[in-house]
Amino acid sequence: MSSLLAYSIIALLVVIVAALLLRPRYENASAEAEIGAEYVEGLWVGPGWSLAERIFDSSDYLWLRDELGFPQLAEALTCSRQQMAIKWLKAVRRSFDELVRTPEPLLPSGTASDAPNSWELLRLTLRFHLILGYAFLVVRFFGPYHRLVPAFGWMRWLPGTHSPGERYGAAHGVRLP
Amino acid sequence: MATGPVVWKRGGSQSGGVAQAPRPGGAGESGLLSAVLIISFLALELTLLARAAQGRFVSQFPFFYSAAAFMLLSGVVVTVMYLSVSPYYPHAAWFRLLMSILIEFAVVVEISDHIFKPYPVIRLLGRSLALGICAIFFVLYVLPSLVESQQASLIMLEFVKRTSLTKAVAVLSLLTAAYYYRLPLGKNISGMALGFCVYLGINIINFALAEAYGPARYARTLGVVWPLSYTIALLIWTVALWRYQPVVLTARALPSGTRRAPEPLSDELERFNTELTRLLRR
Repeated sequence: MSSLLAYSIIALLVVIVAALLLRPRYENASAEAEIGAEYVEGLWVGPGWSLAERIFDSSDYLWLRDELGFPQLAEALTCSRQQMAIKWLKAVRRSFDELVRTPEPLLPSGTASDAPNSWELLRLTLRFHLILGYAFLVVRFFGPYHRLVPAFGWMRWLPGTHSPGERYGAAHGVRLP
Repeated sequence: MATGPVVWKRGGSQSGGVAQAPRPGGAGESGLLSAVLIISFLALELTLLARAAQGRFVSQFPFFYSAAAFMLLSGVVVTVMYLSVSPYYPHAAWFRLLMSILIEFAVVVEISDHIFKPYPVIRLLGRSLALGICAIFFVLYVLPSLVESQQASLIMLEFVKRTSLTKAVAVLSLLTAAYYYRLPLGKNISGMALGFCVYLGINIINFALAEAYGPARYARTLGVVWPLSYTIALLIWTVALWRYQPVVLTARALPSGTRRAPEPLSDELERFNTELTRLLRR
């Protein structure tokens, strides 16, 4: 009987969840698409990139704590930066989701398509979600200044990736508690 | 998909598993209800296919309409065999039952393709997700029930129940992924998914009840509720697919003031990956 009850609840849940997931949404889809495009464009260049670098840069924290001797202020700064980092990561995710929703362009008849390999695109998508999910966890539990380098060491063996030194020069992050 | 009104009865053949082949209901109220369900099934199935043929959108949903055509044709054949008291009826009924369980996966594939196909980045996500879930469920959940030593009818009840749950989980996963990425579904696919989930939900309860009370005691109810669930699904599908209403996709808007052409998608995805990794390496 317990099995019957369990299956009955599961069956009800199937219908309810399906109905919830299928309910109409996106009244403002075009406006959202435009906002998403702005995010995509601004995240990795100019002020957007500077802001991201600043959020994850620990030099202000160290300056407050070690040079000025205000550990409480340094902790407050960390909390504030942690919230900003989470918001920034959410913006990155939103931009990425907007990119994922890009429909296939209609090509004129006779035009050869140079569409990339779908498996490669799916691999990059899943890889991004993996990195972003990990970043969310680390920022939420350890703060924005926790160095993530050791966790990504295995990535140098993934196709298309290189060691940080080869690609971007030496990182100047400082391991913090 | 159900086989039309059926009741699991003993007798009708000399060979073990075939002896309990699904059969249409007998005389009395159950027989009348079965007849009503047979007529509803045929009328709705014919309407569904005729509307698609008339609107010339059969090719837009090839898997779905192939499955519907199979159910209609095999339903007619099996019903005629039953009415003519053919000795081959039990074999045909079992064959149709097993085929319908497999063919229902075509609806999952159709839903998956229509949700994700327009988007190159996640084009393979739907099929990968559905295939992965079905494979995992088959190995860990469906297969163990098949190797247990019990009556053929109980194995079949268990098999239908577990495959129904597998399909339900696969469809819900696809809908969750679509919800996460805020992909528009459109009326056609929404109706197809809703009808399928309602049918699977009723099936899961129905076959769990049959298992709990035993095929002999629950046979008559099972034989009515099962085709009833399919008729409800057919009704939802007929309404949802009355007209072909494709989802209108809009190209990603470029920010105001941007004049350059957008980068290829693979480059943009690569940039997201490398820049985020670079930032987090600091």
